[in-house]
Amino acid sequence: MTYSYYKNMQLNNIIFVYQGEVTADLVSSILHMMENKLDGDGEDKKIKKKVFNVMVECLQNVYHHLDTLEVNVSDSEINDRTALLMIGKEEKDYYVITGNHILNNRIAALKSRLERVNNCDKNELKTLYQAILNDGEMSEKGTAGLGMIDIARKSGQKLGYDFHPVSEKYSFFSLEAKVARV
Amino acid sequence: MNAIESIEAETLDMQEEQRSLYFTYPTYKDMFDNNIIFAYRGVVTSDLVTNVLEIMEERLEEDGQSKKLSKKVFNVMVECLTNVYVDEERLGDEGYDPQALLLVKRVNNSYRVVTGSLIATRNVDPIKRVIDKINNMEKEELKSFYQETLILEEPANGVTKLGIIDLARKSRNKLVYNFKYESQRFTFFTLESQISKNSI
Amino acid sequence: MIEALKIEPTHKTPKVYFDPANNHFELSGRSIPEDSVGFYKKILDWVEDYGKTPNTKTEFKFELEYFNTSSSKNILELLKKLEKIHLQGQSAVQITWYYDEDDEDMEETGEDYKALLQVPLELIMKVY
Repeated sequence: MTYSYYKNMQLNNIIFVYQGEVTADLVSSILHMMENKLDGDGEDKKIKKKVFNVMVECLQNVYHHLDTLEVNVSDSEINDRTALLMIGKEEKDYYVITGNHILNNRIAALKSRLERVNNCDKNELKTLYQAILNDGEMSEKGTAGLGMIDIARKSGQKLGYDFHPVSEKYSFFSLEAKVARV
Repeated sequence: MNAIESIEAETLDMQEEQRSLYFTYPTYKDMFDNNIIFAYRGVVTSDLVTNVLEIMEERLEEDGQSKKLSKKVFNVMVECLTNVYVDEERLGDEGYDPQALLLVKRVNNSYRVVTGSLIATRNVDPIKRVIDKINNMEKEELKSFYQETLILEEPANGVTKLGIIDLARKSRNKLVYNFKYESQRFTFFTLESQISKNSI
Repeated sequence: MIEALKIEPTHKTPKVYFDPANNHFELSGRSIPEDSVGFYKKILDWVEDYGKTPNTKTEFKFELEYFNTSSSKNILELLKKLEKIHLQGQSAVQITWYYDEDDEDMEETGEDYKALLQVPLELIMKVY
């Protein structure tokens, strides 16, 4: 079994993957580790900073999402407080993927936010970000929207996403941000 | 074929852009089902040891584990990772991938630290014999064997007899191993140490 | 009297503080370097040198947090050199081995060394 993990990680150029509950301290430790890894690999300073910033945004984003979740006691087969954090290094980009459960009834809204972000160019993203910030309506929806935009701005590429149905109530939402290595 | 193996088969056909997202949920599910907390693939350095210990410290605290058990986990991890420090002498050898694998699993209140790395195929039998021998030893025998080896063995990098004995001694559980032959020169060696209530 | 040997600790190598003038000898912190032989060589050479004109009393403190097996071999060499100094009679060597109350492994390691050596070695548990 371990060997297949090794091969899978090799095939998909995964450096690190974490599954479990996500706390602020854990995020901090993971970032610390990745910072050292980037240093150790002799990556270009500018790219290192970019990758690191995207990681920070992605990890904090999932942490905030989980933090604001209402604990659902009836759905015992899904631990909706656990997340997946995955970091990979491919030939052309680094990628940061976060995954967590979401309620199916929230998918539509999330999808439209993501599509809107992906349809913006650099300037439009900036405007959008400022608009939400100035909106004053700091609802959970609002801050989630900011997180997404932040990630998109720092990554400089379209965000990838996937909704995988898990049960009647839940799906697993994956978000991918890439940072070019050139 | 388990989830991971079937992903392997399918992803080979996919375009790079789609791949990573496609396997995210199966990866999550597989890790969740197999109680894997994290996996790291890369060259293992002392820097990494420090960082991984930091991560484990957070995790063990979250899990509400005692100081004694936590310390045991750290001590075992230090040694597990030492066993897979990159072998400088092998760098540049054909077919040698210096990147090792580290997996940490949690099953109830026990933790399993698994390392995987390439070793010289000719070392497979000697290593297997040492582990089988150790797994059949009682605490006192293991202690003598450790002390004997400490005196006789020269310090070396990578997987060493002393390192393996140390893991068995500290964890107080049988070591689990696996060898996957890759070539005439190199074999992928997996070693799993278990830290449980037994260990403290 | 030879000069003191002072090496600042890092995340992977221990603090080395050997000061004959103040009769303070300490090795503490972490020892998990990739090249332990390289790191310990200067320590072993220094102790060898010290052994030529040691203090009448040598109190040596070990207070380690983590160390791996590649370091344990080198630490054994260090202890053996101290043992030699002690057995030669020029210096009364006393080694103190500290361990955390929650660290059974460090306690066991101290006991291992004690069993292998003929130099006074005292195990002291740190309680918080």
